[in-house]
Amino acid sequence: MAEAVAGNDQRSLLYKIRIFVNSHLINMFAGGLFALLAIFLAFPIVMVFIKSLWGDDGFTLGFYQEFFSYNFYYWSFLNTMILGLSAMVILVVVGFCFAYMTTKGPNWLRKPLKVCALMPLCAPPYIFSISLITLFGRNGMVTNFFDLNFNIYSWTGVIVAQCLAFLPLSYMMIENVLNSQNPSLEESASDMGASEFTIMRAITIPLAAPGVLKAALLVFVMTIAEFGNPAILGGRIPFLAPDTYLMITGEGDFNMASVLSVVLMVPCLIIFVIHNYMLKGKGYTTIVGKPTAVDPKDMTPLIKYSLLAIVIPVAIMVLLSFAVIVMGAFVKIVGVDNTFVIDHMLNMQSNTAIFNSVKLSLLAGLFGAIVGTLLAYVIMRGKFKGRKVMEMMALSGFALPGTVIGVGYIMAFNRPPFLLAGTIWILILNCAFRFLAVGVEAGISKLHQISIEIEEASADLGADFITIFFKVILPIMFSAFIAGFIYTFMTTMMSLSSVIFLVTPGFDLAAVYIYLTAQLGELGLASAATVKMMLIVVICFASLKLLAKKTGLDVIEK
Amino acid sequence: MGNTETPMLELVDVHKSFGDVDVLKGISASISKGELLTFVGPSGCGKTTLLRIIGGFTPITSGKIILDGEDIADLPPNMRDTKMVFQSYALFPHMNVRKNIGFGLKLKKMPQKKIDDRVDELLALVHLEGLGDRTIERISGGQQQRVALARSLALEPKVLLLDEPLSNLDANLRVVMRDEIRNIQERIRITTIFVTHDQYEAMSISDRLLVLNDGIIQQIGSPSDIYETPDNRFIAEFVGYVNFLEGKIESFDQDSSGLFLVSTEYGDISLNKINEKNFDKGDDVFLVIRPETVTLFPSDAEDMPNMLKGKIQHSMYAGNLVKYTIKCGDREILIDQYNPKDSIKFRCGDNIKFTVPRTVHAIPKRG
Amino acid sequence: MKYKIFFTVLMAALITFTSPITNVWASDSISAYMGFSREVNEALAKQIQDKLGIEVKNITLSWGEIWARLKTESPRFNADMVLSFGASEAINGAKKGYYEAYHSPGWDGIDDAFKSKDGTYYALGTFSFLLLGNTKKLAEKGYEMPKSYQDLLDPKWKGQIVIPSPRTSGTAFMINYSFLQLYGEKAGWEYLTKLNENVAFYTKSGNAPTDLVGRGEYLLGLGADENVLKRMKDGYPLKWSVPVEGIGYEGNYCTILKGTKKLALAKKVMDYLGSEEISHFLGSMGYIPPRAGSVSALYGEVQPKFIKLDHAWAVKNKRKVVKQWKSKFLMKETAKARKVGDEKEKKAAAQE
Repeated sequence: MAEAVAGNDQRSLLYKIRIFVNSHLINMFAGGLFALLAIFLAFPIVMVFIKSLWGDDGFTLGFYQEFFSYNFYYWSFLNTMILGLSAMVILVVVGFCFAYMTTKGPNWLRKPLKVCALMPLCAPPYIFSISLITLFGRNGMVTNFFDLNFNIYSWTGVIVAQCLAFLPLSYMMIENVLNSQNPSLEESASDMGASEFTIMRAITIPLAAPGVLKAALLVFVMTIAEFGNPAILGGRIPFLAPDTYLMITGEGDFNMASVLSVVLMVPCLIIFVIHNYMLKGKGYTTIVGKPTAVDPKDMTPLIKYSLLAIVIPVAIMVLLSFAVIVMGAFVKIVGVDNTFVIDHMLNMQSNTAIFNSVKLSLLAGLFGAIVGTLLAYVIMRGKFKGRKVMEMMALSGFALPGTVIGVGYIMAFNRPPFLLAGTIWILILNCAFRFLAVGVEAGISKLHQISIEIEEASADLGADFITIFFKVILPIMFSAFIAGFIYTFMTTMMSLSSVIFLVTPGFDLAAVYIYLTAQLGELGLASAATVKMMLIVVICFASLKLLAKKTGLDVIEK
Repeated sequence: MGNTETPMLELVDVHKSFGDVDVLKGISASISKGELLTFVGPSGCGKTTLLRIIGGFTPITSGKIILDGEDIADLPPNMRDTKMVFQSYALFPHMNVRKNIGFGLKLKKMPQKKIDDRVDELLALVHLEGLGDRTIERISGGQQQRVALARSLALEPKVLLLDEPLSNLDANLRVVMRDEIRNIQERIRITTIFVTHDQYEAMSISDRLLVLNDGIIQQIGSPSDIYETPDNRFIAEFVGYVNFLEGKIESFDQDSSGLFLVSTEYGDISLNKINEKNFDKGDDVFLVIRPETVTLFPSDAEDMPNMLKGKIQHSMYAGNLVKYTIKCGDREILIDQYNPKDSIKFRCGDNIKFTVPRTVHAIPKRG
Repeated sequence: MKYKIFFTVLMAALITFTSPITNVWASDSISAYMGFSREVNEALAKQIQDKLGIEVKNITLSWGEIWARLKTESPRFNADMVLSFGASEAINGAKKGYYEAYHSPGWDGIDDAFKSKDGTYYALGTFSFLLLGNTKKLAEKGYEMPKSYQDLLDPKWKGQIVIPSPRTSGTAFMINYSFLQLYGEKAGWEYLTKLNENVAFYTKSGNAPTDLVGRGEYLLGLGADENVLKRMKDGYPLKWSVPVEGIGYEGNYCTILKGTKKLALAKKVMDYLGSEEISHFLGSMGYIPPRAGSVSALYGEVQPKFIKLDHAWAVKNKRKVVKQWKSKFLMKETAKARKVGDEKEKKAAAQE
């Protein structure tokens, strides 16, 4: 190549381009990612805003006026806030108790409690309202057995169902911080004479703050956005998420639906900002932690029993709920006619839906994980302005209610230039971008631990940005990649709030199938589909784990 | 001193500023082929920045970096023929030793067979035969260091850059690895730039040292030049403990003996010719007196030229030497007496005499 | 290396899983938004596939959802046909020009009430709502099944009745406006207000009352008739009745969406929908089918008494009625709210 060049100083254009590409590749990627975020996260939200202000006759504040003039709407808003906040408080406490028991409690209890806390992850959130009706409904099994007079179609029902459904979220976040806490801190505190209670109050809880905050944020956003439980158990109490859904599906009123979405989004964003502000300087804590082995210490009996008093009933509720689902799948009509039948399980309709869900979740998970890891990398290592903005955008997925994004997506991608409606891509992109935040955050926290010299060394050895990313960074950040993948996979599998707006003919999804079947009262079919779905999820996880073990990647994951 | 050959690497007026802070203020230097040059200086002096500029990890503000006749200042690291061994080694945790060493070769699309041969060769060079299939976590710090070195050498760079490579090792291993690196470097005659803040390390490994402070080159020279004839007070202090005696040139005898006479507060000292510097009569100078160059005598010893008086204030026995702190007038002078077994031992409070050799180095007071 | 294996396996799994996605839009298939209950949808799709060899890719949606989709997707619809939605959707959509006009020869000989004049939509049959009761619970309490709607106002039913919210679906809306047409608007609202005292809550699906009453959660309910037969067969202690005043009804309309790339196939399907076989099939599902020869499995030979309904009025006033309903029955029960609600109503009435 050198001979082709005339002078010594003269370098060929090609060479110059190569130099440019090599030194600016990361910024080009950053630009691309920025565009993706703008199109698939910001644009739909902007569309919702526009729609809330743009009626058939152009700009108008009429829809907001309508919102404020109906006491029904702000009652609904108020209820939503109460629901979100109470679920948040309850779940932070319960999640902490579970996490404390599974990280510091007696060894033999850890595993079963962990399973209980994570189990709701394997079923769509609204499945709990079905179990609750079967168990505690006016004609429920428990209600009848103890002859209770108890109304499940009320606040209690909605809160209990939402709390059961989102227990895993809170648990995972808090357990992770507890797990990664340096045990020597607690040991030194106890060395200085602190009781377990003092340690918990003065060391464990303050140090767990980032995880607790994250848990609080996620629980709040998820509970107010998932509309399954409030729709089924809400009775006469209105909530914003089901209202938004009805506004679109029942009344076909996109403008009001947009207004409700905007209203739903505001508190989420406020909490998001508060959360970011409070976390500032506290470092990142995410699903990827560094578990440290601790010799189990005996817990102080008082603490042990008071935690158990919280944890055991919740665990029983989880187990009962799942028992009802499994039972429902195998009996004629659970609670009404408990004779064994296999028909529900043999019903093949749900299989395609589940299969589709798995496909979608895999694709969305993979796509989300790759984009998330890339984003984390570009945010951490890029040298361009606006990285902070990019980070906020990527993490805002935490704060955007699924209903809102779903509504935004139908409005944004139904006409050129982004004609995606009706294809599976709209679903993939929706799920991938909605749940991006976990992958990004895990990636960022992982990159904090990786010395930048690793990348410099690879560049030094002749690798360009893409090679570095795929050959070096991705393998090292694999745990973050997997965290993003699993989170996206699971939530895509289970979440209903946004995909229900986007499913297309011929591409039915399990979460939607189960919701609609349950709404029709086909509890047997819904239960059977849930059981099958749980099995599939467990199989997916087992094979993922097996694969990681077989390939020895679980070593790196630590 | 290597200046006769064409330089392998030449730095021409290199400037670097981070925002308002000028980190490098015009560095020019050249390194000849096969030479080991060490950048040394206190932390924050810019030595690592300079190394990273050569490696391409930090963009240059102005100036040229000429590698083998070609200005590489604008090239990204992956297109430069310089390879760096990082302070943290930056080994890839997900690859074994062989994979790490072969990484650059593989990127060059070298056939696997050739890569294997080359890796074997390198493993032998760094004495890691048989450890090729170990994962990075399962080898020791010293071995990791060797892997990092081998990985950088694999691509036969024109210049090898070593960024404080020994700082993560314990004291004994440091010495071993230092010698090992020097050994390998001499064997394959690779042009090398070594960065350290440890002056002893720097002196023992290098052909030449480049002493940096405040973004300016203080002195370039061989270890003995730097130690024995430092250009200024900073260098004199930086490369080892030093006693400065302030004095004034009283007279110099140009014709026969070339003796200078310097008057100090504590007595006159005559020196051999003050080399390389032009001093005039009446100039204020510092005499650079290294602790080990001073000889101690009991107080009843016969008077000799260049003999000063003092009192032992403190002594510390260190096996191979005794460190004495001597009160001389109102100041303290540190004296090392080697081979204490065969020497007179002094006690605290003893009055003593000591002589300063005629070869003592003098630097101008200003500068 | 290990990482590579891991990735390869993951990728391979993905590709095998996802390869069918690419041929979602295979040739001899049409896609349809379907608004029957899921089982009926699936069965109907199967029937069409078996008979015509055309696969019907379908998705079960409520009418409101179908309508919402048509509105956003227009003019590029993501489906070729709609199989079953309500009068309101059919009429409004035809006005907006969403549908392909096609005079299907397959529908010859069917009563004109089942067809639009311009051939934009056809009614696959009609369905109604029913008064539902839980036999077991009623027997436990010793209550009789109410004979007339007025009986529902008896305080003994307080908190025992479930009704779908008219916001939810076409069926639910039809249930509510049936009263407005049965008693006239003013008296209708009065009746609904009184009924509201006994209503436990308004469900968010037209079929939910069937389920809730069937499970014994509530004693009585007004709900769509489409799942009733199935539920009773399943073994729910459920019984239904037609109150003396009669019941409302609604058509299940179907149409071909404009701009479909599968027009020929869609026409073929439409022709077939008018056949005796389909009528028989829908009858067996409990619908009152278009072809007179087939009977509804639910109602039998004798047609139930129907309330005379003006669907066009309902279509025109849907928004207003739903709004009025919302402010009447969804507002928080405070004196002030009621006052505000009343004023709104007056204002709305004044505007009329």
